[in-house]
Amino acid sequence: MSSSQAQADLAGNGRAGRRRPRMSGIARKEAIAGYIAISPWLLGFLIFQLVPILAALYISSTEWRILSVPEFIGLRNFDKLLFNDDLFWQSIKVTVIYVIFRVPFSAMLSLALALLMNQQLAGRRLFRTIYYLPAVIPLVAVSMMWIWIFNPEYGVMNSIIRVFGIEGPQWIHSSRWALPALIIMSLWQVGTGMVIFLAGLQGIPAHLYEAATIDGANTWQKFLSITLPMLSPVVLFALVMNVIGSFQIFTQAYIMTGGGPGNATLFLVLYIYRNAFEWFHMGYAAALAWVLFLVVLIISIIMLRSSERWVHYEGRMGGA
Amino acid sequence: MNLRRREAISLQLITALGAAALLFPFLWMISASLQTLQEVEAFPPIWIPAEPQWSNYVDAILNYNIGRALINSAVITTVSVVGQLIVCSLGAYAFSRLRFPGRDTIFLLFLATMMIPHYVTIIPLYTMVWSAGLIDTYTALIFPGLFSPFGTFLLRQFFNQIPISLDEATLIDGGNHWHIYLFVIMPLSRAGLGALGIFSFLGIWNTLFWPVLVINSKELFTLPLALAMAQGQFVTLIHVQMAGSVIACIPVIVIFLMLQKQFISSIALSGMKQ
Repeated sequence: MSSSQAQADLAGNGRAGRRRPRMSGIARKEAIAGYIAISPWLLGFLIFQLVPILAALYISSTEWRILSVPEFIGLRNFDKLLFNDDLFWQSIKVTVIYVIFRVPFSAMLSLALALLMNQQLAGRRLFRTIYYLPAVIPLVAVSMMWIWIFNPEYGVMNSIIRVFGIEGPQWIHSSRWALPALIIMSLWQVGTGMVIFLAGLQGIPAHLYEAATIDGANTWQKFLSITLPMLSPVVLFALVMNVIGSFQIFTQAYIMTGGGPGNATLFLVLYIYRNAFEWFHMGYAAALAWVLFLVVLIISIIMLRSSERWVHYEGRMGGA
Repeated sequence: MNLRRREAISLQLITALGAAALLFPFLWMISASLQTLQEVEAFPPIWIPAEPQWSNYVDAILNYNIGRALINSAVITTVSVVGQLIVCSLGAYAFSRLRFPGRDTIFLLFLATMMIPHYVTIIPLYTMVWSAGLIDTYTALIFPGLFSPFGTFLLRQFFNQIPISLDEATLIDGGNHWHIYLFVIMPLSRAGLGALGIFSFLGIWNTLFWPVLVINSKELFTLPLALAMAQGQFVTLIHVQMAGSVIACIPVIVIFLMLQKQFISSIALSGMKQ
């Protein structure tokens, strides 16, 4: 959320501006109710959000093995991870590859599914349920399931490949195929994107299509000049959310590969986890976490900035 | 006309094939959960076990402590979701409706920190829980989940859409601010509360990261943690693991099928996942 939007938000709730210098009895009653209502939330906010954020800033500038006293070392953690840590760059590489393949493929797949679901099909509700189902079940169970699917000897993946007379790869046991395996698996959970796109599709006014039909446009032309532009704000939103989510991949790697083989699936959050909770380099792990946050923040900003060129907002005047 | 019909049939076919492809892993898991170890490792793969091995489920419950984990997960998720709805709705109510000095400062501070993700705060959170001696307790699992920045924001947006004239009418009728909260705001925000409830249910039920950090003893394992530990065991009994996974999926699937409409609309509403 941008700061200007935040200000507009506050301004929109204008009753706050009419605050009087001296409180009447009624206003005091309201203020007391306000403090009581906000206090559990405020306590949670302070303990679980604000203090940890400030602490994380400080911890990232220290050398700290949890049992010892933190020692202030300035920016040395950041210096180390940028110039002196091959594993950090490996984890960046692995995570970025995952995001680059996962996000566009899952967006295309979920858009295609949403377009299908938007047709007059028999059993549409049943299909929507089936398509969405994989997105709700626990990731740990999903991971266990896919370990078994990717099993080189007995798994169903290689059994299918064997039908064509080819011996399939070792999948999650191979440093070359582990990352592609996790990407393939992530495409199984396209239901969330489909639901978001479907809601967007249903918001496109039918009269646009009717007008285009009268003008003699074919299906493809209608898709390019009505559906895509009208859907573009939803696409942008889904892409940004998906990028943010994909950068945080952890559970699948933790369960299925443990970051291996040969660090082929050492995603950034897993690397943070290792540093903090296996090697107890708390300071270094905090620095890594901030770097991950900055990377995601910069990519999101670039996406939002570039979107001005391709996202069409209905109701905003074009041209000029 | 003929062309259109063919098009419709092929679309229907594609949809059905896609659905079959998505269901395939599920069926594969269920089938494996009912086989013997020999059947699981047979080639070509066996789809229908000669005799369904329901004992795999018993083994999963006994060996991997799935029964206890199911209870733990149910307790933790219920308390967290209900608690989160109360804490967040009270906070959102204060932000949306009640005027008090300092409110807008707090809200700005809140907006400024809302974007900071979980993986940044988790290191200090862990050290806090650790130094408070709360490792291996329900408290460690429940308390951090009670507070949700996203949830508060979502509910505040909802509350802002409710006309203030309703508040005023309640006050004129002699009600106080708690009556407004209980009898005006909450009943009119069912969709928002439902959406938040579903998000936090899925998030808390499915999460592994936090339980891995703060729980050590078997008696307190949540379902994802119990499954993860089963996977980490030296002897891998695939059929029993699959039975455990099926058990972990059942509660979520049942709730999803019951509340399907709310699930779909809550995703479409805020488009946010976890």
